[in-house]
Amino acid sequence: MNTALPYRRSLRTLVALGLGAGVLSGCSSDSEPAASGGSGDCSSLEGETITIVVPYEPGGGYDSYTRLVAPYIEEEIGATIAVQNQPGAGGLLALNSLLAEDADGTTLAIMNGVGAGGSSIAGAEGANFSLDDFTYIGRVASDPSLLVTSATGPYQTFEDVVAADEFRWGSTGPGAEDYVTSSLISAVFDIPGEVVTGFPGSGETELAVVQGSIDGMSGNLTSRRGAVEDDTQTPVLVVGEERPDWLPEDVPTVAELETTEEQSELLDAHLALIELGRPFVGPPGMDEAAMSCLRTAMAAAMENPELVTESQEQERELAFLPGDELEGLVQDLMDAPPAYSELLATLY
Amino acid sequence: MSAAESRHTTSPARTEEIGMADPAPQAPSRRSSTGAVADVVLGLLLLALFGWAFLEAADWSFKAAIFPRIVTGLGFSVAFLQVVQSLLRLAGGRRAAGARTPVTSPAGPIEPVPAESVPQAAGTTAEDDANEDDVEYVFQTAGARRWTEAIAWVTGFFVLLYVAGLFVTAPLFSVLYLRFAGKRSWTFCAIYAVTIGAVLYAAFELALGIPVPPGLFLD
Amino acid sequence: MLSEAISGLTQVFQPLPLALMLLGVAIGFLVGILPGLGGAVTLALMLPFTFDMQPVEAFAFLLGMWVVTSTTGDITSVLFGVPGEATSAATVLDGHPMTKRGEGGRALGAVLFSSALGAVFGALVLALAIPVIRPVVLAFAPPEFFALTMLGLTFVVALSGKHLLKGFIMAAFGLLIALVGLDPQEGTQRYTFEQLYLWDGIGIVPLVVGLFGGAEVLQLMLSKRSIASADGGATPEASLSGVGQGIRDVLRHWPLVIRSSAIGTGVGIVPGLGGSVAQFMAYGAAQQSSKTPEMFGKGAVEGVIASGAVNNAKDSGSLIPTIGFGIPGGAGSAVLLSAFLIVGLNPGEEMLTTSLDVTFSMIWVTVLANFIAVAAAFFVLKPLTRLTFISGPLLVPFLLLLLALGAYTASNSFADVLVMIVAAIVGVVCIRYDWPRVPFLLAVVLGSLAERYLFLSYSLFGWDWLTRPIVLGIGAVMLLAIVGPVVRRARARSRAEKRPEQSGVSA
Repeated sequence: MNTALPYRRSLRTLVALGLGAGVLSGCSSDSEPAASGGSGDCSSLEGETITIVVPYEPGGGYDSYTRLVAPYIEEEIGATIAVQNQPGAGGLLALNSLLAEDADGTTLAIMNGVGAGGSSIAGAEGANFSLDDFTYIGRVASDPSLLVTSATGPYQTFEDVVAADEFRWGSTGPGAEDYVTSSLISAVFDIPGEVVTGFPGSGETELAVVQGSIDGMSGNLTSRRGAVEDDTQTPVLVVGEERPDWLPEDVPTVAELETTEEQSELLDAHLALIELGRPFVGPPGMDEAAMSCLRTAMAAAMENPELVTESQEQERELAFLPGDELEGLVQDLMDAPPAYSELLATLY
Repeated sequence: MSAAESRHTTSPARTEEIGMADPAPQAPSRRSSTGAVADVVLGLLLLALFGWAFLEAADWSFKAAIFPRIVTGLGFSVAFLQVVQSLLRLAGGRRAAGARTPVTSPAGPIEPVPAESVPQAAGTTAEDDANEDDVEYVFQTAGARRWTEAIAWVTGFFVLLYVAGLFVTAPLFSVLYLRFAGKRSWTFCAIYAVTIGAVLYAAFELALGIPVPPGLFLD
Repeated sequence: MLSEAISGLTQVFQPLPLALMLLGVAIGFLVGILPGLGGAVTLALMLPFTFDMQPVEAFAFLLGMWVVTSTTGDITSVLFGVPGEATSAATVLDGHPMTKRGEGGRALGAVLFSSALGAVFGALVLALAIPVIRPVVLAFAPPEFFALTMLGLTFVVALSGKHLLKGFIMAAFGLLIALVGLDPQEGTQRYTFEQLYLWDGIGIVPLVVGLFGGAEVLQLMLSKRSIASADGGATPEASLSGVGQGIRDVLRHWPLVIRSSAIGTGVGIVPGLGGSVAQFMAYGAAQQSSKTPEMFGKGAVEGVIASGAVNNAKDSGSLIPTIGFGIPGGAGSAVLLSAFLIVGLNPGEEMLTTSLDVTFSMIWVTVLANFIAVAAAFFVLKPLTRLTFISGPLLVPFLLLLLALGAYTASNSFADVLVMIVAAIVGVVCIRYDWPRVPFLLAVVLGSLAERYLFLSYSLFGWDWLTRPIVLGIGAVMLLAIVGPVVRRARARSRAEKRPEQSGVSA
């Protein structure tokens, strides 16, 4: 099951892969642009305006990533790229309406793998799409989570958390990434506890962790960096493939934990969902030429040294994965054990 | 406010300028009863809304329903009180209408503390000019024709915006409105329309790159 | 600390940061005038330009832009009755009536000058808070937030004017509107009518724009006159000469400026509450303490002063948790937080120790940018005020477009425009039949927060949350806020009873 994972990060950190950090099967790649669609004929898109829809308000992570990458893809294609924010229904609204857009490559969206993908797998209300509906252009970033606990609380390692009599997570609400990840970890490792929901945003949840009124939370890995280095939050578990170098060595990743087969099946499926990360997707059945153009252009743009430098300066780590590999990942997810989708269905 | 109202009604010059139907001296008492009727009607509408919203919460889990129940329950009770009070006032007002002219409370027959503002408002008259509650005044006195016209223009604007998008609506509506409602010359309308279209295009499309209503055909 | 303060100042007073700040102020100035297009959105749009900048330069640019939007948002509120920002709604209530009676200059003078003073106050608090910033932030948890939202709701009493019962109904209506969407604990759909758009609730920006701006535009279409009344001798010149008087008004009401600024800063610190709440708390407090509360809503200069000061003070307040813990106090500071990372700063301990000079430079920028913006605003006051004297129909197409754009830019959906239209209808009906609008808006803003924080308080602390000292303190203030007006009413009533004809049925 544990095969090597695609690694081509030209980016800041490369931590020891450890004992098969990867969980995903079947995808290996190198740093070459996706070869699938041939040379990438962009004649149909040249001079056009391509809209990339961000399903959230301006200023958030998805927005920043899109605005960061867009100019470099623009350069490759010779088209104008307009970034549009279309918040609504926790990001589902924009993806639902993407289904009906023209599949000529002029409308794309950035997807929230865990949020939107999870809703779709769970069959949650509001997600009117299946993950394999979309045309995958390429992944901008992976989206691992970090479980943190209060620095002043009694639980300073993941073992403490598992051994807790009652562990209280904080979350914004069902269906949110923090809710899904923390509930899933609780369920898989049989941690007795509850998820306190209703926080207006991750900022307020963090505040409650720092104050110690909840025991811990799950959150975006890179966003936790400041608090971890500031020693107000203790990192306990990386829910993702690799541990960045700013985290202490003794913070395990999920793959480094000892698990039963049943547990690892669920975790693997969830890691695949996390691995989906933040991809650019297009409407179903996109025009072949436009798709190969976009895939090739994105692959080339993500290699651009200027973009790489800029993303490092912004501490926005890029993790490109070509569209055809994302398709494989989606296929894995569609084939995930039913126990996983049943578990997810309780969380949305 | 009441002081100002009565002042308006005694100002024929303004009346004409605004072009409203009849500000005749009998207005206060009639207005007070339409006000009370409106309060009853609005109160009943809100009562129905709260009632519906309360029942709607029946299917939800306890946690999701408790706060809506409290809110709609309170809203229902207060709206009920309000309706009863307005009805009482309406009945009382009818009886009293023949006997006296309700100088003090033309606009709000329901006010729980009626007298409070009157002396002070009168005291400050010199300083506060006749326009202080212009909006209320205009809404109350504009004739049916003006209302129809205004609402027709607004409806037209938003339908046009929905169908044709911002960059068509902005110049087109400007020309039509200024020409037919504003009675301006065609030249003036054209300059206005071109300017406003160009400024919006430059600001939203070129400078900021922020999406605007695209219309049905340009999506 | 003093040396860092000076070092911060000298870092701002370099050619490049100063130039960037001016650029930021200019952008913020324009954006603030466009309704709907808020400070947070603009910050997000401008963020990419800061990639190559040094920390002080980046903050000079971004902060300069951000703090200015709340000042210039007030300008459209006063002149056209269309709030430039969701946080400028309270300014409409008194600023616009003043414009209508030809006192636009005085209103603008008052709002701009009190904005500048509010900014200075907020910056001062921020500077003084630096040693205690972390304990202060840690003292506020959901129970305290809940108590604050309740305190905000008590202002319904003050803001209802004479129609207390109607005020309560409108507040309940507002709370009901706030319930639309997914419930915060379990994600149950409430009053969403199967519409995905409604999942996230009713947007506050379209609501504010419609509720206040819609009625004004319709009124202009009905009356076909200029905004400012031409009779009574009001002319652009006379109106402009009122600017000085507006400034004097502010100086005369200095305790009001301080209290409103304090409310702004205090509410700004609390993550999640934000400016749309703060403005009405300050406005309600101003009305309660005023000698002529019945003038509020009809052009009381005190109302204008309070809403001007609170707006700019809250920006500094919301920087406090951002700097102290990297936890944003509002939408704008959330975007600023990404700017910290871009320029390589870690919010938290570092900002209070090794990078303290940068923190101080931020404080200086908020003060300087505000003064520059206010000075610039005084400069363009003349042409803007003239606009209110030109014929009404000329402004109608322009203002209708502002309304539509202001609503649409909230989430780039035509549904926002529909929300705005419905809100405008509510606003018109409220004015026509004398129902108070402000309690409605206040309840919409506070409703969802109240529910969240109530349940969070209980989940986190059981019933113990009721005994937390700050909660008790806020409770006492609430009691005063309710008892005060009741006593005043009772007194007014006993006065009124001396005149037998006036004692209404309600007594």
